[in-house]
Amino acid sequence: MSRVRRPSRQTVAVLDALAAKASDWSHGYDLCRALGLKAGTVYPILIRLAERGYVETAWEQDAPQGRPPRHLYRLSATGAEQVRELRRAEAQPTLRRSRVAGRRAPGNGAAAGAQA
Amino acid sequence: MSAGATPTAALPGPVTRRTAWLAVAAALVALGAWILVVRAGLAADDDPGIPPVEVLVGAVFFGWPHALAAATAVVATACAAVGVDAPARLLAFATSGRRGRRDEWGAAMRAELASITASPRERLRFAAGCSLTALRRGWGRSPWIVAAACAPLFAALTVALSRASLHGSRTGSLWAVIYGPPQITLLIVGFVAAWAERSMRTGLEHAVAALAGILIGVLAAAIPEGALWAREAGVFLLDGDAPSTPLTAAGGALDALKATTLSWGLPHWLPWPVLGAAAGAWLRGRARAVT
Repeated sequence: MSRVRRPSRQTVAVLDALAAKASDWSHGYDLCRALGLKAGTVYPILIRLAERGYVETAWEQDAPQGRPPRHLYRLSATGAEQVRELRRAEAQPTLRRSRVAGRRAPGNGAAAGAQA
Repeated sequence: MSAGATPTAALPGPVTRRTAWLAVAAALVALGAWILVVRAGLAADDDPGIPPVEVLVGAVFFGWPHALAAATAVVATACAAVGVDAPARLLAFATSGRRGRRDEWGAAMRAELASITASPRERLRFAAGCSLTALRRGWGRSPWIVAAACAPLFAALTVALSRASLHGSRTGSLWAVIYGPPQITLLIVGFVAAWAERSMRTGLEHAVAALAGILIGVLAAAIPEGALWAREAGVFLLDGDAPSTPLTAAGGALDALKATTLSWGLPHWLPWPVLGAAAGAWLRGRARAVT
């Protein structure tokens, strides 16, 4: 399995927010509000994710009169795979930790000794 | 590239009468600053009896690039900062003059701001964040290549002229390096980059990077050379003048540093990135209008 470099907490939050909406499009400002992050944090993340192909972008088709079309964002297939990968990587240390904790538990230690 | 039609790029606004007056005011402020600098310089030289007309002539001689650059910067800023309110103007300025994908992200931020009707404060917060993003991410790689090329070039020029003068006439060499070649380089770099990309901002970014490279290159060479001149000739690297008291190596190095950053170098270089970039973008725009 390829090694996944852990992205920043904010990047994970943006990926999670986009993953939660599945194939629906999101707006930049709505992401900022939903995550409680500033535009100066969210936009660099969106730009980077789009450059890496994790996020698809599009322009709003039916913008109301007098307002320019907004830019829309959603996870690409690669992005969705990346989120799954991150969640797997997130779950693994927890499993390892729980196994270690289990081995150190007094009852388990006795069982391990009995097995040996 | 995004699906769907990209909104049109932010168009520069017209030069209004107010902008023209602001530009004139900026030029006069720059010239006024130079009058003070020339007067202070003459007073420091114990030559306070110079008539005011000559002070003015000196200020115009040294300060005209600053006055022109100040006026140009005011006009360029006013024309780029177009919008319905202060946040919109701020973001329009920060995202102006971009090409390709960078322009698309600028358009995305401007469109998003247009949809925010919550409160002026919220609009300003959003615009400030987006502006920082646009200004930070806009540079690309080529300005750094220009800076990386300028630094060793000017370091080599400084050392070459210094050694040639030290083993020859000993009339100093730093002045010839820092007054003329950097201005020409900055003008050319700004002009070419702005012309190639049809963008004053691009020209400015390349020329500012070149300025940083030139400054680093000259300082890296001039400081040790100034110390060398003090040790071997007892005079300043700048112009070969001998001080009234014996010159130490530290004194020679410090004089080279001051000449490059305070008196003859950097202050005289500053207008040229603006002038080169503005000239390149303006002439390219005119050429396109003609063809």
